[in-house]
Amino acid sequence: MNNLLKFIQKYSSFFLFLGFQLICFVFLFSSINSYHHVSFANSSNIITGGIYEASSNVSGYFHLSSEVEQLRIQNASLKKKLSGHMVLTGDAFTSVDDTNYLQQFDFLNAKIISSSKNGRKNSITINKGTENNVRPEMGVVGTKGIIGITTSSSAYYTYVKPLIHEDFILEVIHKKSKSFGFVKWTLSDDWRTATVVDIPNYVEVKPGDEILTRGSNGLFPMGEMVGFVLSVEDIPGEVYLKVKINLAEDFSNVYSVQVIDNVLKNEFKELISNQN
Amino acid sequence: MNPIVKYVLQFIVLILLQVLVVDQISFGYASEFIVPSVYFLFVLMLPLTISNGALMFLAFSIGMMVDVFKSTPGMHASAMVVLGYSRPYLLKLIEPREGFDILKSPSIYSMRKNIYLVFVSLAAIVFHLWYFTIEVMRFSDFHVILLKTLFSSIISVLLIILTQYLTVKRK
Repeated sequence: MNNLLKFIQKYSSFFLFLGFQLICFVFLFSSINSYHHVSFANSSNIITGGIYEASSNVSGYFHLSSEVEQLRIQNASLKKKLSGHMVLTGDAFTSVDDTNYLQQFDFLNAKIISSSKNGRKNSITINKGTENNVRPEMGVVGTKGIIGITTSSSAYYTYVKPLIHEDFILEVIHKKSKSFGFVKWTLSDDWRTATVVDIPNYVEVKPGDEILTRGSNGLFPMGEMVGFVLSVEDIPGEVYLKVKINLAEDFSNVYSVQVIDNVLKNEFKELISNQN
Repeated sequence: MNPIVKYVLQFIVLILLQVLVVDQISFGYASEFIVPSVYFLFVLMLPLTISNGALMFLAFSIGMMVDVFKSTPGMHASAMVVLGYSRPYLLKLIEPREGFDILKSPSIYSMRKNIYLVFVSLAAIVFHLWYFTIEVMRFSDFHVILLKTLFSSIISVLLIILTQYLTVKRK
């Protein structure tokens, strides 16, 4: 016993080192295995969120013009969709009636106050939280394509796990063939690309084809833009293709986003859990 | 200035410098390989008389704070603890024959410039090597880890020397 104590005393700083490393690795692995981050320990808490917001209030002025440009482009595409609707209502069908149609997806405007793109566990913090009814597990889209999924919220800030995070996974469809696959961010990807796996190899996928969300988990509506096919790799001996895509959203230049609230999500979840 | 107040200020200023300035610098197409850190300068600047336990605890705290800002669970803290643990060994490695003046804390003005450069470079390599290893977390991509370590360390050392000339008062 005495010898043991002497041994520990002699190597006390090494044991202290091991102790600290243990704490760090508990944090690291608990974040990998659970869907939610340890919520006090990320940028959605009130202090770090406040500091980031103060800083982005200043730096926001420097990219106003590019932000306005993005919003103009989005406006134009939304207008196009409107005129398409007008032709349809000229037909014999009834016009849109609120009691007949339920608004399934609500969109809430938010601003990105901090983001990273160079690591493997990138993060995005937005300036809306539970006070604005933003909760964990909601989809987030930018002006060009999808951004990520909210994973933890404080009263005024929310942490978003972006598409360019190594744990991100989402079901997508290839628009032309309607084949399903999963979009992932693998080690060979940088912030401009991602990889779609699990599309069968008899499907004809060409560079430039559109990849859209499938809407299967209820976080995103069906058909939100994810990206465009960059290259297709047929792995010998496998029945699935490995499709590299260019992300529609430019993660180095993104400021305005919309958080998607699916009104029917609880119903959807209940249905899934009843089946299991 | 009271040394405790001085170190608390350094702690806060270096974290803010890291997350609000250094992390916002864009390196264009090389940005995947250049992820510089300057905040570990805090641990290098602590006095030579500090105990190993206090050194590691302070390293862990500043790492954890940066982790909270960057939403990277425990990764910066882990790399900082490694740096805190290895600082005494690094200092022993570069110690000149006449020894260091133990009353002064290590800075570019209290050491010879070439020795200080070696000290910061070694610290940067230790820190980044550990950080990128647990970030990538597989040894099949060891060349990626080495490239990231090399480029990030070079830029970090430049930024740290710059920070020293801007902040530390000449005595």
